[in-house]
Amino acid sequence: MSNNILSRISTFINRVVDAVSQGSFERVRILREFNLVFREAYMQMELDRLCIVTTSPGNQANKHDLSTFYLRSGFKITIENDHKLLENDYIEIAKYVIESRAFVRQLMALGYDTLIIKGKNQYRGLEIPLKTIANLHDYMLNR
Amino acid sequence: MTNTSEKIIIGIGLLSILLGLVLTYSKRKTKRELRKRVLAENNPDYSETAKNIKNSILKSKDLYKSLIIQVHPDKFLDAYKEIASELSARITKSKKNYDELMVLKIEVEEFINNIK
Repeated sequence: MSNNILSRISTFINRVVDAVSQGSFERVRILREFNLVFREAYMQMELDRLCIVTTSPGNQANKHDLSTFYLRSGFKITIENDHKLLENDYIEIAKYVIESRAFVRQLMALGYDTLIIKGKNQYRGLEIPLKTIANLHDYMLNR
Repeated sequence: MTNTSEKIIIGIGLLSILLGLVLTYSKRKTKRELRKRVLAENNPDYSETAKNIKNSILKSKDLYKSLIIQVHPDKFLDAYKEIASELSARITKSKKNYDELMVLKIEVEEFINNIK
């Protein structure tokens, strides 16, 4: 019960920080939509693992032109029921996310610079620099 | 004399602060415009993107297999072989993207119907 309240409070604070730091609710919206779709798919037993998307600290080495403050620059997908999850599974999940360059560019525009995929109870995870998948050069040249 | 030099130092300090503010503002403005442009040119419906990722995890593997078998270049001759090769390459490129595979599915069906 207390965990639930704490998690709600931290989600609320995260949303406020995202909205204030970006000057819009786009980040809040993307996290909400993703969590809604993944939760629904898990509840309907389409997906056998529950994925939760949050903002987390990124990696300063992955910084690009639109990166936000590094403590808020990670797009993190946490797999809640991570029993028997192998490193290959992380790579496989990441491939589906980074398949769309347009989506990766959107993440970059929202200030994210690192895609993190991690199991809830595992120390290991996967970290992908978004700038290696897509770039914003074309947009910067067409100013 | 001391008073004048103090005033000059304060003036330079204020000017530096003002210049810093102007530079920061213009940098932030450029960033904001760039962000707006990227977001405007890409699909703003995050729900669609999330659904596509979910569908890709669930269904793209089977769809990919069925499409790639249908357009295997060895099954065709001459000009058709070329089209089949091109379609195969595009299908492989979109292997993990359900929405794009669905678009390609229509193209594959049209291609096969044309041959018949």
